[in-house]
Amino acid sequence: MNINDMKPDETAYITSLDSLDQKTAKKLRDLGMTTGQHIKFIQRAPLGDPVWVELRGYQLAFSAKIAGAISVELQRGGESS
Amino acid sequence: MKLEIGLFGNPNCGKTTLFNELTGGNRSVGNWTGTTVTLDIGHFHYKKQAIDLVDIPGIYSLFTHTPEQLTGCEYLLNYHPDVLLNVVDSTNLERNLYLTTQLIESGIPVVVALNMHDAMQEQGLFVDAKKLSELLGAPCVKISAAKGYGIEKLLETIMAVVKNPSLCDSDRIVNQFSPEIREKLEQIVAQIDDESVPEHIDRHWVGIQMMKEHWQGELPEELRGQGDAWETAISEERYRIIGQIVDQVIKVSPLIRRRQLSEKIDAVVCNRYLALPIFCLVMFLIFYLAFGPLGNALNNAFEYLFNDLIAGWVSAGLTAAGAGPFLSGLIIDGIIGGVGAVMVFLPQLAILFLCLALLEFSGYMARAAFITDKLLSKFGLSGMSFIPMILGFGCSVPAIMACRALDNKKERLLTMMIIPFFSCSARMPVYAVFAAAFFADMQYLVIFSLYLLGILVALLTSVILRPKIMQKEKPVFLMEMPPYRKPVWHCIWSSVWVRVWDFISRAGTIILLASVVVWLLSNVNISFQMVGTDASILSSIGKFIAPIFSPMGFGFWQIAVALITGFMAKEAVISTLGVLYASAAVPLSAVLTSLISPASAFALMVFVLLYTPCVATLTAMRRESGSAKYTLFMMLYQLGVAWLVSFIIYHLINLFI
Repeated sequence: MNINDMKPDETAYITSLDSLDQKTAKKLRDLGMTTGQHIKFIQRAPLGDPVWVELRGYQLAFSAKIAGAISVELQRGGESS
Repeated sequence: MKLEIGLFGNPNCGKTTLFNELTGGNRSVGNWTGTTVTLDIGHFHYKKQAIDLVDIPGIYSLFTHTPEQLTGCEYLLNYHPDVLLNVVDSTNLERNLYLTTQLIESGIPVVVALNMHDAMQEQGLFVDAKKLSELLGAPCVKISAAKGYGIEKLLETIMAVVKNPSLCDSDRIVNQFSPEIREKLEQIVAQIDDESVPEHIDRHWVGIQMMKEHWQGELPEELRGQGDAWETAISEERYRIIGQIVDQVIKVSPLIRRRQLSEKIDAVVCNRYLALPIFCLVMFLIFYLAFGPLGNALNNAFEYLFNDLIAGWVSAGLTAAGAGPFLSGLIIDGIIGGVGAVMVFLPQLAILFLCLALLEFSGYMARAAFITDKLLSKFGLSGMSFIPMILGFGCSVPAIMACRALDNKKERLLTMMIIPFFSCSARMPVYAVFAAAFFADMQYLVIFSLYLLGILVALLTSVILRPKIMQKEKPVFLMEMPPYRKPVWHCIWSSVWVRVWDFISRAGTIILLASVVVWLLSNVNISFQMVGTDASILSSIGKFIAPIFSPMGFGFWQIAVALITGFMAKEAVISTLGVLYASAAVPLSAVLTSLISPASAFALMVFVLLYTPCVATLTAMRRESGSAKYTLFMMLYQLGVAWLVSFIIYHLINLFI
């Protein structure tokens, strides 16, 4: 699954950024979106795009197009990292 | 010896607040050779030591390709700052330390300012600064830039590091990299040609960078082409080390949940159903405050001050001193008439600047970008363009500078091209005068329609130019959502003051000069004899151009001249008309209404809204786009669009009304 499949308050960890172009992947890694990192889904924008997540104690929003290219795996219990 | 400090930090870390706190706003703009952008340099003294503080734009990492990040790198490589001051948002330590580690590796001594210490305590977090200093190899000081807490200790620490650079250890982080990465790094470092690297830069820092494409040629065969994998490995390793450090230095009080208030506000403000109505309400409120009853009342007070009180005193004084008609004409009609016509709008602009500053500092601007992204994508833009666009209502110059936040070069260019269509504050005096003279019953509606028209033309321009500029690329949105912050009044005040002062100083320089020149040229002929305005030099110039505007019914030489001076600064249109038309007996509005029809007046306002922006905007555009071609194209495009739209609207009004 990818970030677009997540629902508000769900927590997942990133399994791969490989479907992204190198430039975007690099930028996201600089922002802390590394493989294995936990993220919490906050919400989708009122018009459906972009999405808003929390990671490493701060919040980040990005296009659904990017979200769709980031593979994640849901974490049981849904507790925030 | 002057001390030079490079000021680094993530966006939203409070870097600007600290800059203002340290320098008291005493800054100059420096053009650095080797960098593409200009940097602000602040000047201050600490214990008789003169210090230059160089403000590097907010960045998340030193090693990527956006223009700001290149500035950071170029600055480190080409200049010799004595110390780097790294501002860190303590409530967001993990991500902020990413840049810190890169700075420490550079080999230049780093002092870390753990900012927002107060907000951190409110969130029930505690950071062990002593332990953090030890783990990073750089001294850390807790501060609150907004409250002025810890500044003294920060400066003391900086001076201590200058005296004794060994307080910093540039290898502390590198030594924690995994053995595989370190082995490879040493391999790369061995290949570095010492001649090509400045002496003050640590070889490990260069080694980490060397895997990027432009260094590849210098690497042995077996290491080439692995840049991406290397960068990924370094990023992940960096965050792994930071994670370990943060675990050791942060203590969380379990009772208080983080960002609680911020989340509650967002639950309403970014709610699926409420977000758009609230957004529209906020925009309307700003407009209403600035141009509604409050702004208008202040405006009238200023008008009374300039046109009645000051002009009256000066006139009485001049008569008492026995000044001739030339001198009193120059001072009363030229200087006070011209500068005063512009200055009366200062209160309204101050309100507008205040609202924009509040939006920016509170964190709502990022939400607005988030909410509008999808809408803007219909026009080929993204929410990232929203902030520059909204800043354009204040002034196009900072708006064009704000485009640096867009890291897609083409999207940046496209946004720059449409910004001048967002009606900047300098155009407001023009609307206000014409709307009051011609559309007294529906001033707000008229002014509002002009703002809307500007937005519409901007979006249409984006649709038209996008395929040419962006080709098939689609803009993407990627933005940090900072928590809401309580406005810190002295920060907001200083941001408003900078812009208000800019307006006043323009009124005292460009507008003053234009008013004097216009008055002189309109009162003398080619042989420099004082004549009636109809025989003046200016009228000859104006009469040559005026026919262009005849199809819209405002083909008068005075208006043509006013539009030319508007190229210097748009508010000069009004100051020039004030000098050319108004006199003590007949106010400008009376002259205008006797001269042109309401339809022409509206068409003229449309022309002023859309035509070629002022020199300052074009200069900023040229500098930020790096392309004279696009700047010239934009100039001509806007001139053409202005004439065409003005023409169409003039005839539409005549057709239907």
